[in-house]
Amino acid sequence: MNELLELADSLRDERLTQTRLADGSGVILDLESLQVLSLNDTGMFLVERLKAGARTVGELTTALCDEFEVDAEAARRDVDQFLQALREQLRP
Amino acid sequence: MAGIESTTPAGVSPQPQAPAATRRFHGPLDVVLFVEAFSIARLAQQIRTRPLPEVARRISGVHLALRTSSTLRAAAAAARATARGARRWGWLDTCLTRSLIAAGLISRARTVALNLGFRPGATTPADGHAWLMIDGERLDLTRPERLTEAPYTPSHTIVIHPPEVRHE
Repeated sequence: MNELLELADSLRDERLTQTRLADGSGVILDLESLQVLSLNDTGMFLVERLKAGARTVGELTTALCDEFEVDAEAARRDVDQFLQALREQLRP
Repeated sequence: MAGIESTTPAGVSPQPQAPAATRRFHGPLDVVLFVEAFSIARLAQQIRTRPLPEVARRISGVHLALRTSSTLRAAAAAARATARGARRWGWLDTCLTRSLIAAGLISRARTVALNLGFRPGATTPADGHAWLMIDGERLDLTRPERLTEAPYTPSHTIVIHPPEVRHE
């Protein structure tokens, strides 16, 4: 299965809740362990795009460039690093 | 840069709590409520090892002799139980454990919603909090000064109904 699809499925797990906070940042709460993952505004944006159905790193990079003032190369690097960190944090 | 950070468990880190823990008992009803709160408090400590929804389910299934609809009495009993357990056995004494206990006591008579929420933290990325909603009335079992800052955005709600509603 596509790795991004797996990640999106993990985020839809009922034990995880995602909440955007007043300053644009966000949290992912694991109801089983009560661990909290804190996300900055771009991290939360990427999580929301993943849950909304983004299927490729390219889609996420383009969305990030459309929403934030960042060049494509830096955005691609950020997306790669973020997805790697998210996979590690969500690993069961 | 897109950032992600794992922080301390929500509502689990110890926080100095409201002084309700040291209030005197005002009669036999308070003593009975304290005993019942204490039995629920032992279950509430399971949030260290069990999923929160499961702990809430277990608490809602505890047999209690007394039904109270008084949020103030239940809050005081919850504070007493967790504060004493914290002093003697190192129990978690947090807004979450107190809310779980108060929810267990009040839900015998009224439907209770246990809420978990977050706001941007001053020193940490996110500040977590637990509180109860009972018939539109909010019950916060934490220091009042924590509530004067930015509001918490609700993240998850667990609703506990009175036994007769559950069994319908």
